[in-house]
This record gives sequence, C-alpha cells and structure tokens, in this order.
Amino acid sequence: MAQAIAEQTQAAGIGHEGTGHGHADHPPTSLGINHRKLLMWMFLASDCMFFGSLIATYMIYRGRTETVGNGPFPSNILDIPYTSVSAFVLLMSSLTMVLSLGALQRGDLRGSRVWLLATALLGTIFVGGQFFEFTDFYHQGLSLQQNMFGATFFTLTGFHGAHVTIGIIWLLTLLFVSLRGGLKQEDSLDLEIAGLYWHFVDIVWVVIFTLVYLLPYKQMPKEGAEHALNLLGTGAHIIATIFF
Amino acid sequence: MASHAHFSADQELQLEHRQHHPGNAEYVKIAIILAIITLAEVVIWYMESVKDLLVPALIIMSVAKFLIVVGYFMHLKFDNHFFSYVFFFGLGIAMMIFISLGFIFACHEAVTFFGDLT
Repeated sequence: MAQAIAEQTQAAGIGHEGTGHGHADHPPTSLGINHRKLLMWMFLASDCMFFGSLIATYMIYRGRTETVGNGPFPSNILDIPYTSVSAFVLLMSSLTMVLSLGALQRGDLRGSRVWLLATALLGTIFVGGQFFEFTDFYHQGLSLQQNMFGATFFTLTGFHGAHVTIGIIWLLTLLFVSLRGGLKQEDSLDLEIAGLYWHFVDIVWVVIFTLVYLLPYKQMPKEGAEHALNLLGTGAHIIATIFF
Repeated sequence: MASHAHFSADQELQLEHRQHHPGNAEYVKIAIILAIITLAEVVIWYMESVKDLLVPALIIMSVAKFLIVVGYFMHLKFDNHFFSYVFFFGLGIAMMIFISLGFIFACHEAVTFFGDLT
C-alpha cells in the first residue's frame, strides 16, 4: 500500500521537497505538502493584495470619474459585448489548461501539448483583444493623463494584461520543453504550478469584468459629503451582498 | 524501499483527494456553467426590469465564478486545506485593503466638506 501511494504520489508531485520530479529518496516536507506548490499559493496570495490595491483605487475614483477632468468617460466608451467575448475567451482558456494538466497526469503527452497550445492561443487572443481595446480608447482620446478614469483603468487592466502576457510566455516555454521531451508525466507538477498562475489571472479578470465593466456608472454629485455617503453606501452594499 | 514507509496519513489523504479530481467531462460541465453565468451577467446588464437588483446579482454571480474556478480548476476543493488557508489569508487582506481605502477616502471627503462649512 505504502509503495503504491509512493509511486502515485511521485507522479502527482505531492509530499516531496525539491524539484517536483518526485524523487522517492527525498524526505517528506515538514508540512507534508510540496514546497513549490505552497510557494506558488503564497505568491498568488500576495498578488491578491496587489490587485486588491489596484481594484480599490479604481473603485474609489470610480464614482467621480464622470465629474473630474475631461472625457471620454466609462459610460460612453466601455464596450460590454466586446469585453464579454474577451472574458469568455479567458474563461475557456482555464478549461483548456485543466485539460492539458489532466492529459499530462494520464501520460497523454500529445493531448497535453495540444491543450497547452490552445491555452496559449486563447491567452494571446485575449491580450490581442485588450491591445485593440486600448488602441481604440486612445484614439477616442482616453490616455493615462486624460482623466481619473484613464489613469486608474489603464493601470489596472494594463497590469492584468502584463500578467496574462507572462502567463503566455510561461505556457509557451513549457510547450517548448515538452516538445523537447522534458515535460513528462512525472513532471506534471511543473504544469500544475503554471496552471495555478493561469487560473489566477482568470479569476482576477472575473472580478475586473464585473467591477470595471458591468457595474453601472452613475453621475456622482461633486459635493464632498454627498459623494462620501454615496461611496460608503456603495461599499456597504457590496460588503453586505458578499457576506450576508 | 524503506523511504516509502514514511508517508503520513495526511499525504495518503492528499492522494485520495487527487484521485477524486474531476475528469474531463466534469471540467467541461464546469466550464459550461461558467459560460452560462457569464452570459447571464451580460443579459441582466441589458435588462431594465432588474435594474434595482443589478449590483447584488452581478456581485453574487462574480463571487460564484470566482469560487468555482478556485475550487475546481485550481483544485482547492480537493487539495490540502493549508493551500486554502494561505490563499484566503491573502484574499482577506486584499478585502481589508479594499474596505479600508474606501473608508479612508470616504471620511476624507466628509471631513473636507464639513471643514469647508466651518
């Protein structure tokens, strides 16, 4: 029983410190979990804080983007159908990512490569779409310096796009390694860790899509107290919806 | 072979969890559910009749998508719970940053306004 578990655990990359190649001679980690995977989860937790700060900044200025500076403003520039397709594409790339990992864990190298390539392609379509959107917005007069909306929007979505781009490079590198025979069934942890990063950029987009694109923009009053009450009201509404 | 003997009960549990990971068909079903939620988000965005419920509905659907991806695609539902603690700790701090910044800026606006009155 113990030997069977050891063999399967080796293939799965569980419980071994080190390379993820599952060397059975390595002692189990003190936590009983793989340190590389733990490190990736810690990185993702810290990235949550990073995006949390960017999203908070966007949301704080969201209410007054229509009143501070010159246009264009979000309500007359954001294209919901176009971004919905982008969101769908990124969501589907998460599916192809898990299919790639599943194939590798079963030892289906060809299937793993095909799904990995599909994931990278879908990611590229998403980034291409974002590039097109940015270019279109710029031609409509929106830039980082134009107004508060431009500054917060480009910073938030730009950093997300950079994360997706890094993910694509990572996936293509793994594909190259796989084609050279360096990514086998016993190395599935390498792909799983890349997958965790990829799914993370997907869930960040789930949040951005809702908060930046879908939540309605309304004309906020310029008066400070009224704006403050609106801000608190919106915040309380969101918190109450999430927790209660 | 002797080294195989020191797998803990926790590691056996991890392996058991991994063996319960969804298969391809289940992953496709989950993706279809996610696509339907995304479609519903866009549809209700255009519906005037649910305007009052738009914000809570969008947030609930967004949270649902988030949890489905994290739970199933990222395997948190099946993996060692320690990964969940690490991730949700970071997410909790992110939420606190979000709430604190909103509160600070709202207070700043109010103080600026009442300061102008005096």
